[in-house]
Parts: sequence; structure tokens; C-alpha cells
Amino acid sequence: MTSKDLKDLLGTVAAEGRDTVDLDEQHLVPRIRSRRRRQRIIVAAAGLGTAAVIAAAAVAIVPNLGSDEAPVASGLAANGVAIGECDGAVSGSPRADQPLKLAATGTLVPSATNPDFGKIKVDVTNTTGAPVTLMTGTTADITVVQQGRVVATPAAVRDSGVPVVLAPGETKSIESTVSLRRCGEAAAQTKQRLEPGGYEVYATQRFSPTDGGQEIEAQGGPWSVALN
Amino acid sequence: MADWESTFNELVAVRGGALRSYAYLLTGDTAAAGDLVQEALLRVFGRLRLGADVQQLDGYVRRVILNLYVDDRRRAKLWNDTRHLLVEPDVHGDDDHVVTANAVRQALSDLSPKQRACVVLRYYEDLSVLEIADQLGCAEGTVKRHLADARTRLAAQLGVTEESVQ
Repeated sequence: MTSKDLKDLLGTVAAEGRDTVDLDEQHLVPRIRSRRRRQRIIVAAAGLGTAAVIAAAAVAIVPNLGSDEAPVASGLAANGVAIGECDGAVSGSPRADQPLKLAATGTLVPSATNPDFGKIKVDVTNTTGAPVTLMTGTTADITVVQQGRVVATPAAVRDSGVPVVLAPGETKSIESTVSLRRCGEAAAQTKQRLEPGGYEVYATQRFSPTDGGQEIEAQGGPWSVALN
Repeated sequence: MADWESTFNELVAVRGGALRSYAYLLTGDTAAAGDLVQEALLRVFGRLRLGADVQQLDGYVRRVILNLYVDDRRRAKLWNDTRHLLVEPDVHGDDDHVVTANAVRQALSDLSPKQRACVVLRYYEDLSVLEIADQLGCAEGTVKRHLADARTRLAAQLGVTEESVQ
């Protein structure tokens, strides 16, 4: 038997297959249709997924895209208000959803013993519907601002823990120390103080719940004060 | 009717018989051949990007049939390697060389998937060794070896003479 004979025999088998193999096109077409539909969904989903990834990447890469929050400068920057370092800008305003609200009351009173410092009363109010038990410092960090620029950074004071218990809506006052020495290297060398005039102050104070909960950073300001 | 459906109908009408024969030669079983052609058509026409050239689509479908056949047989190799322990193989008398389609099918079934594919592509589809190598994704030397081995085994059962496969 030659290759030609083998080809002929294969042809015989092939002819048998042509007659006996059932293709069942009627059932095949709906299956193809279904697969194509599925493919289209997959392609569409993949497109959406890619778009989402690109959008997420853009948000991650471009600073503050998709956020109304002001850029955090440094130093006392926190949620809501961004307070720059000395001579830096202050932007934003305190968040409205803070559990503790700070408010400066009264006037800025220069110290009788040390003219580099003053005192201001800051009220802290529990805005939640539940009593809170917190630990905090003896003073809030007070930043003095003039024409939108930081002119005096918070005073460096020896601090200690102070317990604060506030019922819902209750307010307590904390007398805070304010640095009246103008910040900046040149001003520090000459021990230059703030000139009498109008200023704005911002307060930031951290409270730690005694039950081990997350630390609360309360912010308040700006409050206009006059330095005589 | 969608564009792909008219192309599909045309392909089945024009090339359906040849595709069925091709699959049947590879599998030697009507049901398996039907499944093979259906799966190949499903995979080719299931793709969203599809040309309208029936000749080209016929080539795609054949390629898928071949790949599916070789892959399926590779998976079934373990069973094929051990089935002789369970089934008594048919005995072919050396004195009876009356070759029938049944005998060809039986002889082909004793070949490995790639040997069988090489035989079908070489002697039925009239492809060159180079074209077979391209279809199976292997070297020309490998195709020659498969063909030589297949011819040796077929010669023992069908009385095929040893010839050059070039």
C-alpha cells in the first residue's frame, strides 16, 4: 500500500465523518450569541475598571484632586485649618463636625511678670450627645496671626496632663499661654515682641479619651484680639 | 441577523462538511468530532473581533480544532496509557490485509495525538512538513520523526510502504 492508498483510505474515513458527524448548528448559534454577549460585558467592565484605576491613580498623584481640604502646610496643621510655620499662611476653617469646640473668650492679657507671654481663656465645649472623659494639656497651642501670616508660634511651656470631664453640651475654660515674642530667626535674636495692635489667634488642643479612644484634635479660630 | 451570524452560516454551509471530516479523522469518533467542531466554532465566533473572510475563518477553526484535539488527547494520555490494563485490545491478523475504514480508524487510534495529526495533515490535507510544523508549533525535524514513527506503526497494521515524507 502506498501513500496514495493511505490518502484514499483517509478520504473514505473523512467521507464517513462528513455524513455522520452532527454539528447541531441550531443549538450552537445561541451559545455563540451568549458568549459574545458575555465578552461584551467583560470588555465593558474591563474598560470601566481601567477608567477607575486611572482616576484613582490621578487622585493619588495629583495633590488634593477631588478634595476641598486646604493643603496641609506643616507645624500645627490639622483637619480643617492649615497653619503654617512662622510667616507661613493660614488657610481653611475649623471643621464643623468636631466633637469638641474651642472658643476664645475675653481678651489677650499680657503677663505682668514676663512680657514675652500673655494669657487668653479658651472655652472647650462637648458638642456630642454623650459625656466625655479626657486628658489634655494645661494650655492650648495658640498661634498669633496678622494679615493672614503667622507672627507668633505657640509658646513652649512645661506641660502636664489635666483631666477634663464634660457632660453633653458642657463648656469648661482653659487658660492658655500665648507667646508674644515675634517668631523668626532675626526677631528671635533681637527678642522682638509683637507690637501693639490687632491680631487674630487660632487655638489647637489635643484631647485623649481615658477609655483609650482615638485622640481628638480640637481647633478654633480665628478670633480677633487686641494687644495693647 | 447579525453580521457574524451570516458569516457563520456561510462557513458552515461551505466548509462545514470539510470541518466535520477533519475532526472525524482526528478523533475517529462521531460524537467527539461533533463536539470538537462545535467548540472550535464557539471559540472562533465567540470573539467580538471577527473577520468576514470565510477562507480565513476556516483556517482559524481548523487551527482551533487541531489545538483542542492535541490538548485534549494530552490530558487523556494517562487514561490511554493504562486502558490496556482494563480492555483487551483488538487483534489484527497479519494474514488479512483487507483494509477498511474501520481498520484505518483503528490504526489511527493507536497513534499518539501528534502522530495522528501529522498523518492527517500530511496525507489528507496535503500540507508540507514545514506547514505541519507551523500548525503544530514544533520543529520540522519533530514532524518528520512523528511521520516516520506513524508510518512504521501504520505499516505494521495497514501495510503502508515506507516512503520519503519530504
